[in-house]
Amino acid sequence: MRYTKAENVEAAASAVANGAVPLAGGTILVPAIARCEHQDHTFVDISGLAALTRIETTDSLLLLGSMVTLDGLASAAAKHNGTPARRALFQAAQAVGNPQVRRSGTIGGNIAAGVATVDVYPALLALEAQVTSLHGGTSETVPISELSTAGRLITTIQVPTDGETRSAFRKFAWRASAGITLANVAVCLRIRDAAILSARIVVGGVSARAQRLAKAEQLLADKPANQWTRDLIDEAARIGSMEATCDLPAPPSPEYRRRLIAAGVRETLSEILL
Amino acid sequence: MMKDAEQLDIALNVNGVARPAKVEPFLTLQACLHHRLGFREVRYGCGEGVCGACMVLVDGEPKSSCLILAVQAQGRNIVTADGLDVYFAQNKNTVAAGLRAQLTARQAFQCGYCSCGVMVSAAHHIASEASVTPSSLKTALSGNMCRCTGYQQMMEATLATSQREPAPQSPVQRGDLPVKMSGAAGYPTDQKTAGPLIGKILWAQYPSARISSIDTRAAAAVPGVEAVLTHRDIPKQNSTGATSFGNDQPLLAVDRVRTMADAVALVAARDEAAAAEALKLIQVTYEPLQPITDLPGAIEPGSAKNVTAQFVQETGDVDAAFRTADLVVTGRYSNEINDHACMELEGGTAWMEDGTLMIAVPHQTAESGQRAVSKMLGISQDNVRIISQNMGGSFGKYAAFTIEGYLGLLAYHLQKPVRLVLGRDEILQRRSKRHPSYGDYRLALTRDGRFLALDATILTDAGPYVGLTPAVAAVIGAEASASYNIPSVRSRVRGILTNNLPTIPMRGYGSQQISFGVESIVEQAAHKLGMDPADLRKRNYKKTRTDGWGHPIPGKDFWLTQTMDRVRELLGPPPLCPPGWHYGRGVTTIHAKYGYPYGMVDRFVVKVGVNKDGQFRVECDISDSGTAVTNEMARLLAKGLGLTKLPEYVQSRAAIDDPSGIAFGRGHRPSWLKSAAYRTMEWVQMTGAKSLLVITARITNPRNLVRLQRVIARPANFFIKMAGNFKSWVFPFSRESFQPRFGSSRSLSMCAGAVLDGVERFKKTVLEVGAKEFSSDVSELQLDGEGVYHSSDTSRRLSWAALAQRAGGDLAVVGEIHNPVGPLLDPSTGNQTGAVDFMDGSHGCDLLIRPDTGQVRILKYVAVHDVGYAFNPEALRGQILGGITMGIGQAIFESMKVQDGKVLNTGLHDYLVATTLDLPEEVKVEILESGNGMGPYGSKGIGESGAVAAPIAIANALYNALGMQLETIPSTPEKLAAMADAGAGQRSAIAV
Repeated sequence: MRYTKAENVEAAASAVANGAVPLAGGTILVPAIARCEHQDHTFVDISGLAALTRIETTDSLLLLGSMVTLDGLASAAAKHNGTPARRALFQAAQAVGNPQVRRSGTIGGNIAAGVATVDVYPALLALEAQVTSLHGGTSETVPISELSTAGRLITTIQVPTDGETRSAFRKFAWRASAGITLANVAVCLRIRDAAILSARIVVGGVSARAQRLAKAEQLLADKPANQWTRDLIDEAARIGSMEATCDLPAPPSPEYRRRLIAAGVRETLSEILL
Repeated sequence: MMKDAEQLDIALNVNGVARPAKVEPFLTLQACLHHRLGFREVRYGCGEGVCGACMVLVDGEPKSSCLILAVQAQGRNIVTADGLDVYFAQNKNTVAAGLRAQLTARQAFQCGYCSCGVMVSAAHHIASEASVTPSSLKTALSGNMCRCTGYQQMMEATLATSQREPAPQSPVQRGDLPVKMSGAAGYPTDQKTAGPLIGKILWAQYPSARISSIDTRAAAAVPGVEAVLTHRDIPKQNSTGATSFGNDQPLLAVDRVRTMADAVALVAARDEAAAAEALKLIQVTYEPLQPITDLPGAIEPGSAKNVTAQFVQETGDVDAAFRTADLVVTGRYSNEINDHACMELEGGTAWMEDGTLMIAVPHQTAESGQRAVSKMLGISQDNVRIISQNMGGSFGKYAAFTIEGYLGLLAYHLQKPVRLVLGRDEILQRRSKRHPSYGDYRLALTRDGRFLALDATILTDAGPYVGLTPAVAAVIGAEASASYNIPSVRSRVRGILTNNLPTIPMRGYGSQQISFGVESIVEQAAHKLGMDPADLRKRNYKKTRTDGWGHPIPGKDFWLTQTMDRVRELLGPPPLCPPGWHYGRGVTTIHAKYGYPYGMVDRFVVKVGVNKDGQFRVECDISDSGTAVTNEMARLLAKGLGLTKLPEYVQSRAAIDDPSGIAFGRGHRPSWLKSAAYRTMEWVQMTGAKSLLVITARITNPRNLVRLQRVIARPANFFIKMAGNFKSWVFPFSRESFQPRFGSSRSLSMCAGAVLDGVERFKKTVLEVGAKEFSSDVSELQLDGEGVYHSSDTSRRLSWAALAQRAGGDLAVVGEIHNPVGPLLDPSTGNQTGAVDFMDGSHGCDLLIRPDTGQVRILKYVAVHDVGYAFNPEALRGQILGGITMGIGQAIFESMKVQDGKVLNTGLHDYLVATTLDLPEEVKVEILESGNGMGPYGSKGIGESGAVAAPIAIANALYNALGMQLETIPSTPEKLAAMADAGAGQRSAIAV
């Protein structure tokens, strides 16, 4: 194994373009490195790059450096509370691991990890985040759903925000701290003139990749406020839990995961609509 | 392949001091701090940021040092637990010192392994949070796992510190805690971490297979590899060491593997990578066999094949009672395997020191470990020493062999230090587990709720080796009548050999398995009768204490009713149930054994003494597994002699060198000849008993077996009758010791008795030494906390130091205690065992369950125990709290994924030990003292009882909430949600 410490973002991006693996918060990579699982890899340590830790807010965007920690994100939430648009993101950040994992783990790492049980990625997908990454010297900004991390260094995440968006997130695990995600649900609704303009419902932890629940989204679209009832929410939960692909081989069973999805959809929608 | 690992120079700043280090790029900060730089307070627990044992402040933030590479910490400011006081004091903040005082005074830790990480989190939380609340604290400590204490006392201590409260004046001095709360603790994995070779084990690839060849040549050729050992390299006996019941487990597989826990080869190399590479290159040719992993599938009706332990007990006319009963309830209840999940990894270092093989490993019975290694290597037991004074948790995991054989073989073969620490995945997948069992229960009752008869048939899975299964099976069977007065009881228990993981006792061994079954059938009966479950229990409690033969002991009552009444008072009125949840209340009773129920003699010895500097010490071969036993021994000695300074505890086998204590009493060490003779006697008695047991195992007719066992027992009984407690050097053992001393839940009540005996002998001896010095009669002398003085002329006095000098520099005696001999039961059954004494108590809880997700919230948990006598009430409270917390996990989420004999869990991220956030919202523990136990002052062994009851109280509450009864523990939320669907409409409104 080889270790290099990046002096600046450009050097880091160039190393990544040449095959190095970016070492961010270390919560996933360091245990594997310690088990001698990465003896043939080169790692480029980006944990010291201050340029990647900024948090900025504009009228329409929340701009997060990829090395913002989950704990930093949760603290930022405390500061920027009253922004229901991004609530799902803050809730997701607080649902990860335990306090020390949240202090080390980063938002960029959560996106790049590529494991089924991450919590922040589904929230970002629901919030239609854009991700800027560097491939060598070339910068590219794409919707998070179109991101390919191969050879790329994620530098910033832009979360659009406006007065019309409401979001919420739920995670289910058997243990409250350091629980493995069995299912999570992130919901983002745009509401204009007392009607749901559009809905994005994302489910994670039940398949290799987070997925959108198109039918449940469809059900909610255009629903005016006088139809925001418990029945509507229950129906969305039912449809959503049925359409989700639950194909992780490990227990619990797909049936049980569908129950969790239903509960998650019900709770998140209730939080926003009722 | 071992490459010349690239070494990088880094400069760390640790606790304000620059610490340069040379590190490989893959070395974690934890390994660098602990192994290379000697900061032993930075402990390893999970290696994945889950448990918090390795936490340090990095630039002021609490982080898991196992998630950071050492090279990444270049130039960072690191503060370990030992540096917290200085770090915070720089900002004129006394938080760390205050916290340390509070944690010690409230006895917040037991084994102490988690303590340093907890202090880092707690101190940071207090210093950075404007207002610390119970809820903020739960979150702040939710990344610090503790397997012993149940978190309550550490949260109380942290909250009190944040409110600037002075530490409470504790009546109990805890000398061991400040040591455990620092790098000085000396756990087995702390020993000689820099420089030794790295040992690794090649485990079986199949749960059942024949081995046709093992080729180690390629592995041995890996650069950096110093040894690749197989069964061919074992000098003498290829055995992990006999338990009380057998010797059937090879140390290294020869031509057969019977479980995934079988080891095939050992490797020692200069670094991890080379050792790992060598493991991959060992060529083992297997011929896989169909494994037996299904418990009922392992036995054939009417055949004794695969039955390794059997216990049958029948009192009264069971069948007649069932024919005439008003009501018969039946149920099948089972418990799955659990892992002890000790916070410290199983492992340590072995090295040679002046011809003696020193092995630092966690061990609850160092004596038997030493014996096993000496037999395996063919060297004298005097030349093997197991060092295990403190260990990071045990809970029964180290009750029989641990890894001392593997370590011992490598270090002795190479004559070099070798470190072998199992990974968390190996511990979960390759090491022994709690006995899983399942049983069919039938209970016969009258219409008004009187128990008439109980019939229980239970199978328990031993794994492929006998281990301690007969003892566990015996406890399961003998405790079938549990707390209740049932006229007719039939219990049939069989220990079955399978190709699953081997088994070992775990906290409340046997008792938890049988109590879950019996308390579940009783609960079901209450539902069927429409009776209050607590009332039904109370109606049937045993009232008078009985001995192991079932004979009542006059004047000794069971306090079961008192504990249950108090539980109900503490629970109070039921809470409001929020919409979307189901509410349930559950109670249970515990009446579980402690002590050896093996029908054998159990004897503890300790040496107490003072040296020429006036320093007192207690010596015993018991390890501290977190029950405060070593500290209590020191405290009892101090109390007995009026000493102001707490004596030191030293783990040694000194007391065994002179069981009579006479040579020590005269101030001499026993001569080597005498010492060898004493050891030989103990050895003969132990192995003698054991070899006879091996012979008896071949006798299939139970009647003959019992006859033979009576013959074996006769000499013991002869000595008891003839010698009583009279001791001389002719009769050094007033009663035979068949069993090695055993560090467990009852070690305190046993060791305390031995120390009290030692104190009396010590007083007698110093008076004799003083009388000789003053040329006066013993009756003219008196003792105080400083030494001995003449009653008529108080200026004539000898200090302890002077007394020790008069006795040749060291004045010491040996004290001892015996458990009563366990009974031999009815000859017609062949049972060799029976319980010795019981701990009693009741538990209750209120909980909520969400029927859609199965998610459980425990609102309130109360426990009331009759402990006999409390030596140290706060430590005792911690034991019960810890048991409850462990029990919550065992009821709901401490589940192992097992497939065809293979465990799939890999770490503490997926073996779910409860954290602060899983605790009940309110917990109350109360202690009653009946004085009815068999220990000194009527004390009892209490450490296991909390864990026995908690899963059962929770299961009963879930039954009441769901209207469906749990048939298995753990029952995960997935199962509970399915039950909620099935139970909808059946929910009964039984109020407790």
